[in-house]
Amino acid sequence: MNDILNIAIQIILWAVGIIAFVSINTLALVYVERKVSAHIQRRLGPMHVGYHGILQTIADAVKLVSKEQITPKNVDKPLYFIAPVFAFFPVLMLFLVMPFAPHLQALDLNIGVLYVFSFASMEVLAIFMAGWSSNNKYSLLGAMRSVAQVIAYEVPLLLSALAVIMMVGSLKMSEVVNYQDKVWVVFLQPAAFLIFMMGALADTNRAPFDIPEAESELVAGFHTEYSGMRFALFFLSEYSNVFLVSCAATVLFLGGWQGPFGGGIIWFLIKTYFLVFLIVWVRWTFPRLRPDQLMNFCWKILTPLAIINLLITGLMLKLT
Amino acid sequence: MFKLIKEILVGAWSIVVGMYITLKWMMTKPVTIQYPKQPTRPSPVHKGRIRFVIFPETGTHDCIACLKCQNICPSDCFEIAGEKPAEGGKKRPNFFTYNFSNCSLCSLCIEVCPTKTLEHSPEFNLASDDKDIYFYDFLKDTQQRKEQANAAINR
Repeated sequence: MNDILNIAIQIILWAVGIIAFVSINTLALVYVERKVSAHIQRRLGPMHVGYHGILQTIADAVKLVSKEQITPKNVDKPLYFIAPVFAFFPVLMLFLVMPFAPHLQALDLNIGVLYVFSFASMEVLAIFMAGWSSNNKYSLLGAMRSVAQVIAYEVPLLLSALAVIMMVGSLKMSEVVNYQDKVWVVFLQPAAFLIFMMGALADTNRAPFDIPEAESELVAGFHTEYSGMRFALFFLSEYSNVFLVSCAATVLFLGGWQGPFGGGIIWFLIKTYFLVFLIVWVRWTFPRLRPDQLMNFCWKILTPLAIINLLITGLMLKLT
Repeated sequence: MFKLIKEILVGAWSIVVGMYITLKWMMTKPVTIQYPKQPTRPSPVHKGRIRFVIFPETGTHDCIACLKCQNICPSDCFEIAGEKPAEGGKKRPNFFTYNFSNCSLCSLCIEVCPTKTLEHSPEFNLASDDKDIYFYDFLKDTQQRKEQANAAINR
């Protein structure tokens, strides 16, 4: 009985900690996004709430939580209600295996990398549920585009990750990190890293691959009909996905917690937030692609390059 | 095949160039002025209220109280009275008021003035809920501005 209580308390503490981290991280990322975009356009961004607008996103979040939750007519109610939860739940599951530091990892699964990619691809289910159940043409179009795009870009994403897995010889997150204590994989597999980052941009529906929520064509895409806390859940999951994809890239390519002066969680967070900054930077540099250009780019350029990269990796592994 | 490879390389280079440009602009100083907190200045063609020109040669205005501005004004903003001085010379105004709350800033008075002695002032922040401050007495106003200019020179 005492054991069960202990385990229950542990689980609750982890869950509360992760949810708190997800929320604060999202608030910080929204602030960073607004500031970076403002400075790229030579504006100042939020300045009035708190020092240099640092409390602006908190004020926005409070406003969002206090909003009415609108349910439109003729929505598919069960799916409509469960879709935001479904979008948020893989985020929590993904934090389970992220190796922030040598001992700061909830669960070191021996199929960690596979686990990450399988839960990351559940996101598309939530998006399609939201788009389908909203009874709105913009939502449905956005959801369909999202499904087509995510499924297409998962192929080069997985193929480029597979090249790393072949070199490491293990799917365990901690072993992938330990393999890189001398030299980071990004120096051995630069092409795979670039393909992975492009696939990650498309997988998280970020610009220039943000056609599922292209606001000039589709209002807001799949979350057009959502308001209040349900919209906030989609927002949380979007920004947390950006963070998690950067985490995965850090683990696979940038050596995880490895770094000078002993390494640790500081190095992990520095690398991750650098990649997050890179993703934001790309968003405010390049315009959105057309859907057909997007598909052409994936199937005609990225996927063949990823396959060639995989073949070369296999050849080199066989020769050495 | 060669064309495809070239396309990929050119595309990759364009990514580098684009990222460099946005990074460069990110490092430059923003052009935003936080207006109510920071002082700002109006554009050189800003049209504020009407006022007298103070000519540097004579040190004062050159109004001859011809009433042309009063006659052409579509909103009846001006009230002017003037007379010839006893010692001779040009006619000068001894009463000249201007109601800014009626003025539509059409600039007709400026165009019609024969001595070019009217202009738009560069003032802004003129909004108020008090109607009385919009009655400007140009003779008093000119006197004040001359004193301010003198004070600035003496300082």
